[in-house]
Amino acid sequence: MTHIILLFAIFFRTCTDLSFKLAVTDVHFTSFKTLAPNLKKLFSTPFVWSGILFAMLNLGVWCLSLGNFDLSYAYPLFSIHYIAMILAGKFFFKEKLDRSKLIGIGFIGAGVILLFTS
Amino acid sequence: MKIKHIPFVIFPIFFTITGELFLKASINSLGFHVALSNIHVVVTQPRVLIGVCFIITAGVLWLVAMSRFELSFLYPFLSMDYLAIILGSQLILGETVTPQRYMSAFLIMTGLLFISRSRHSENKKTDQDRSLSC
Repeated sequence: MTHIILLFAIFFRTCTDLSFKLAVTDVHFTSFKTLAPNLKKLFSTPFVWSGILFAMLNLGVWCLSLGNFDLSYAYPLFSIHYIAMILAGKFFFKEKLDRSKLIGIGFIGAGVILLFTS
Repeated sequence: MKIKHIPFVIFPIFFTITGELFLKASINSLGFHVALSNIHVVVTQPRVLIGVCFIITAGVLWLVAMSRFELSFLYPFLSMDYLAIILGSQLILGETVTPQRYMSAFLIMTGLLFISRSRHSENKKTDQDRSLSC
């Protein structure tokens, strides 16, 4: 049952990454000259603030996870968030799901299943 | 890869590994069982906050690295975190690490390498963007 904690940590981390991706879509950090206006633009989007909120939730739940699991178990298990991110990229940003990504998902999935037996 | 690029990947890796190991060691040393009911006590402990700050620093440094380099260059370094953290858990924290966990870390690292090789892992950048960012 305590695995639900880890699932929440992964969920909040995925929400963090999605928020930050949405926050930087209109921002182009290419040179130091445009740094100030770009930062101003970045912090005026609601997504950067939802990203910070989700990041705080993620870290809180991560502390809870570490109180209940070995680091050598919880940290590799957290790699599920790469799978979640690729799927979220496909559904929310219409990113292409090609063969390399599918093979990558397969390896990470196999690694996670192997962890359950450890 | 040039020598001057090394700090961009070494620092985020260093902060991730140190942060996670320090955070776990801090939580182990609390002396009570961590649960949802006492999480507010846990996250206000100075040593826990130090670990969290290391992890946040690592995250920010990764963003800096990601804005300058392609994922296909960064992910192989990022995947080293898994091996280092499992080794650290065994040698520093004294966790019982089964061979399956090492095998699993190896599979995850391989998976990350494949993801980083995807042609769709990068935004299309103009030549001007590249010259400015590198």
